[in-house]
Amino acid sequence: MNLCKRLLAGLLAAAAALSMTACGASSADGSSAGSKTASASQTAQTRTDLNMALSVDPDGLDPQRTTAASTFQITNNIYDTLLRVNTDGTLKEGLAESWETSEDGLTLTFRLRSGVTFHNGNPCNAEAVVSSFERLQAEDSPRAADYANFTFTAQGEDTVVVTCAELDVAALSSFAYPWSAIVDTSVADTLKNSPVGTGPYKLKEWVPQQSLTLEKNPDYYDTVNLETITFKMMPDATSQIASLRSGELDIISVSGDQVAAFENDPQFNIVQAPSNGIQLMAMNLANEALSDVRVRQAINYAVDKQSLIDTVWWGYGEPIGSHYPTVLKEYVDLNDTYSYDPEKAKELLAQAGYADGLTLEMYLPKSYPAYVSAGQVIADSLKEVGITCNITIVEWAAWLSDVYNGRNYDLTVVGHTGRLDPYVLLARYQSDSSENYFNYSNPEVDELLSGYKSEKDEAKRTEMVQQVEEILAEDVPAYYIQTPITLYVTSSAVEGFEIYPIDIYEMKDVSFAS
Amino acid sequence: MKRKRSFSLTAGAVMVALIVAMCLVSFVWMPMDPEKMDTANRFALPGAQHLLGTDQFGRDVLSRIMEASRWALLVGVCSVTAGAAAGSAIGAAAAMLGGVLRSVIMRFIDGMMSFPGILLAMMLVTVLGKGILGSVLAIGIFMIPTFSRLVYSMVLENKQRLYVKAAQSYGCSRRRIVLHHMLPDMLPRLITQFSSSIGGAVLLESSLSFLGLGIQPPTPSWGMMLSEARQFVLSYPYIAVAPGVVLLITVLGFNLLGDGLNDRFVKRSSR
Repeated sequence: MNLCKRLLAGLLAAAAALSMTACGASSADGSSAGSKTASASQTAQTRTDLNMALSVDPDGLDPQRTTAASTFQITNNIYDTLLRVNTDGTLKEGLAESWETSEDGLTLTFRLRSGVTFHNGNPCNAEAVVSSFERLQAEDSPRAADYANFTFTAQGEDTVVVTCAELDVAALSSFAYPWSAIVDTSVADTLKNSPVGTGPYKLKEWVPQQSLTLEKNPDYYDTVNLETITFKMMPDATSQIASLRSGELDIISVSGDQVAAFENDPQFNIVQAPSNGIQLMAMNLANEALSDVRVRQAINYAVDKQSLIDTVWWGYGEPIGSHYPTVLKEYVDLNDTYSYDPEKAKELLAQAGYADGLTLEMYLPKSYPAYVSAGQVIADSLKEVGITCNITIVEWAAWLSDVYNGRNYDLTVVGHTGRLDPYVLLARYQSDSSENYFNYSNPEVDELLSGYKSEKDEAKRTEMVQQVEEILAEDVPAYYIQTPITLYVTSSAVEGFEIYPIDIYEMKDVSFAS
Repeated sequence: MKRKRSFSLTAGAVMVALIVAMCLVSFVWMPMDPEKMDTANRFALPGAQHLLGTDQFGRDVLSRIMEASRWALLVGVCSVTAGAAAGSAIGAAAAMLGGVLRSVIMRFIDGMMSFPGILLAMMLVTVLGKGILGSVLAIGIFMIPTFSRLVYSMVLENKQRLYVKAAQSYGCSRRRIVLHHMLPDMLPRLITQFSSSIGGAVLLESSLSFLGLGIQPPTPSWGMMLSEARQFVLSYPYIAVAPGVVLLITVLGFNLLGDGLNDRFVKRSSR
């Protein structure tokens, strides 16, 4: 009957509405029962197979032809770099046993480990390393420009000499980033799907959009604890948590609100460390109001930073007052430059001629719910001092083209990831930088940054960076929020999982407690 | 035949009245400012101070639901009105014109109908822009085919009736025939369709807002509230319940009302 049909339609609509909220939780439960019994039967002996969640499928496994951080997290375990990174950002030996920098800083000499072979048995000698770097410099490499400064030559079997055309004080760190991985160029065309490196693990199986399994490289020169590592693609945070609880996963990345459920639970460990990055609300100085430093100061006075971090990141973040992450050694604490004072903000706005209020367009990237939330909290605080924000939530692609590259915005909230060298982080504040989406221009900053690259004295370099930090803290072309704290939850048996200042996982050091 | 009092008409009318009442009350009184954040009081459980609790920014959920009802009804009614007017005009024109033009128009309408609703709406919003106006236009355009087909078939049917032939014989214009002679006969079915369509439009608006394409924050919308609550569904499941239930009542209410009206007017008049 018609009544039944109508009722059914209504109920279906209701079910659709409810499933909007419930869809996250349901998908995780399917396959958990099996693995739980498996892990129970193995408790007698130490496990050697680890399961980890990934939110995105890697876009291929060729580290020289990608820019995706999620891809490097995996390739870093398949390939080796000449140098490796410690958790504090300092460098240690990788494929290169030792290295030297010449007096003038223009020549770097790397001595390779002897007898290293690629996963397919080919020798990884000086010639192979040079060939690998030449591929990184090739035209179709996204990093070609970053490595254009270097010329590579092989000396004998195990020495690689790098000559720099121009002095680059950060040259060494260029050989520790995951994209500088040494690949076997004889199989260059198939690296994307069948990676061949010298790293601690080799690819066993990859089922796109489902899972990616690595197995131990028995010939690796260093200790490798686990036999197999399986990365499972699970975009949804709630299903990751459900799978961790059921034992299907051993390590997941979580957000601040989710971590509370794992605190004081002996079954799980929380691994946390401030990441090498910063989050901020950028202001477009091309906007007439925002070009006035008093308006920018007013915005900084108007928002309570700690309360913002508590609300959006549940307190998992370290407040900053300038464009510099707290984890790097040149960091200066400038949090007190403009501390929360809404009255002062109103005063400054009145002085700048905006006593009757001001309307700004705020764009927030949809793919980052935390930035969307932060934007709303900031907009709410700004309303108190008379600044109205019209919020538009945009797709990431639209954000990149219209806001970041097109510079068509007034306010936006976003994050910046750090590198090992401070210059890359700050270079965007040069007046003519293509990444200067603030439209910020200060001759003093330009001069300091252009001088930095050729300054050999490290103490002086540090001083220059700190000077830039201080100028930015005064000029505030952005509302600097925080250095986020990265959070992972592991099952309590997992040992040796650490967070690095570049976006990598070092799985060879991970093991299970017996 | 004497009909029993229609259950769906009563139930639908009660539900719709409830939502409309909530919307009207929101203009006069709301428990709190729906956009005022109170970050010290986040995720408060439903209680005396906040009847339905607070969300992730400490905003009062009841107040937000109340304010959102204005936008839901506004978008629902405006978009269906626009869609019904345009759709009916197109359908009637096609039926009265005949010939190649009729085929072209109706095949185009069929083409539109073959798109899944949310996909068409998303495409339109991308073209027309986000926000309330964009949503109204997109959902309105989405409603056109339903009303076109309905009016088209009714006009074709009525064209064969004697009263239309009579009107034609004493020289009425086609427009006059449709508006003055046919419309009174078609009105009950149009009203029925109108009511059911509002339910669909409200759901579509919520879907768009859920995807971040509809109403933009801080203005609340039920879909957006659900999408925000989804992030915290493991830690604070209750904040998703209230907007979900209100959306359910609204959509079910308009559907039942449409069905009840159908039983009351359309079936009786055609038998």
